[in-house]
Amino acid sequence: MIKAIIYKEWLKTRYFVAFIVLVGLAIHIYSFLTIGHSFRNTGRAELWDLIVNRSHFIFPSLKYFPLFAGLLIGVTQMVPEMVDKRLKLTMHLPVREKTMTTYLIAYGLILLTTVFILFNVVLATFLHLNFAWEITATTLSTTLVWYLSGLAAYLLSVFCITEPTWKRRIPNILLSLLLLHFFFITDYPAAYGYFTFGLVLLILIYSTFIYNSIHRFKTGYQD
Amino acid sequence: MESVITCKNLTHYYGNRCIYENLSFEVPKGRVLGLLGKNGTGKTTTINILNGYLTPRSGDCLMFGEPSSALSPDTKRRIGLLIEGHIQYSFMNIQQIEKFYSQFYPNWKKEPYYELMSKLKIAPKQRISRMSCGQRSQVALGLILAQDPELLILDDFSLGLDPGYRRLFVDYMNEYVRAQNKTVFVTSHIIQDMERLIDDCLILDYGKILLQESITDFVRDFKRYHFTQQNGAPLPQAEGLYHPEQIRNKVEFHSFLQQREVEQALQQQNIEYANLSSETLTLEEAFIGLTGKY
Repeated sequence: MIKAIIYKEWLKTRYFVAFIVLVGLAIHIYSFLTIGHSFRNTGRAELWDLIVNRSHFIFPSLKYFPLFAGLLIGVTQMVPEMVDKRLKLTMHLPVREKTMTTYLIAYGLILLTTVFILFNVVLATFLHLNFAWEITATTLSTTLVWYLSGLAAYLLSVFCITEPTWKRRIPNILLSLLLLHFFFITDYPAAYGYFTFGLVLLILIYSTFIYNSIHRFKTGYQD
Repeated sequence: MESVITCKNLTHYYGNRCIYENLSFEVPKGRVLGLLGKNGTGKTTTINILNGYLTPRSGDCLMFGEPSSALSPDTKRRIGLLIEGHIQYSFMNIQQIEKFYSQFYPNWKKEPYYELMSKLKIAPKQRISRMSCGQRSQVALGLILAQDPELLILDDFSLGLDPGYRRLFVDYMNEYVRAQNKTVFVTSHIIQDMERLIDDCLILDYGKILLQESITDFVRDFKRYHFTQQNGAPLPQAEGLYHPEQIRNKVEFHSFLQQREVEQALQQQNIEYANLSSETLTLEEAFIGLTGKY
């Protein structure tokens, strides 16, 4: 049964997953080439000075990629369910409402986490080969917050899309924008520190919102 | 007889608009019940309540003895649902959708599904979204046959179908439900199709049930009467005489009363008439006669 649900979700999202992987690879390759270019033109010492003394972050182009990926998966997974109220078909399957909701969310979160881990491994390898451990750790802790924003964007987009009424969906969108803002308060490298764990907690809280939207859909709320 | 669906005192409003109040009905096991009503009388609302997709303002609705708002997976497995417009997962093709659903139903029978699909002139990998409405209806029907549920809920199965596909759908469904003793709750806005499929009808008017009985009894007892008006007599207004209409000096109305009782009713109102006659009706004519044209 779980395999069937994964199969359905995969059919909806597979082309977009491929697109996200391609875009992610392109951004990473572009970032690596840019840094390589800086190595050659300005010299390693200059670049180190920028990173260590002036807290310059060298992968700014990665900032919105996870956000974009999270939104795209949320939209491609849930819009087909909401068109013609196809979610009714899903809710009619012999699985309890909350269990089905959990499966749907888990699919998106696991998919995104897998893609994000893949890119983090690529990034970590590049950093490990070119920089000291401290710079690698600072960079990864900075990008971790952005990757968490991707998971939050996914959950909040599902929360907004599955809400059955526009009267409630519009405030939900505004609330979601505010909640996403927590992930972009500062660009300063590794600025979030231990608050990153707080962001993980926020994501867990955001995931509970979806149960409410889907329950409202299931019980027939409408404009 | 055991009831598969039991609704007691259902009341529902959209905002301040009353859809119905204290609606009660039962669907016994093995019967095919057609829910008939004009647009806006609450047919889809009732289907949504039955499936737990709408919470009524008050009242209870039980499916196989369970509240429809909290059906267990085992009970859901016993119910086949056709959503209005033959909605299915349009991003799948016919093989993918069969593979998907088969995982949820232990008694899945793929043979009737593929038998039906073989009659459609479609490529095996053609997505459902690229099929015609008629082809989509066959996919939805095939999936229900493969699921082999005990209860089928079909919401406006004729929507968007041409006469050929409507006939195909009804013929298949008829054969299936009679052979397997299935229980069916069905709505359609094309009453002719229902006449060939249903045993009992439940006719809704705005806010209430007008009638619930077998269609055999309904079309046998409910007649259209005509008479020629004499001396400018008024239209009959007695209880039990439905929707009188006059075209020139010909008066027409409908009634469950026998001709003798109709004559008495006309005489009590001092209506002068001549050539009173009655005729039996098709289900569609009887439905319009009971609910009115407007």
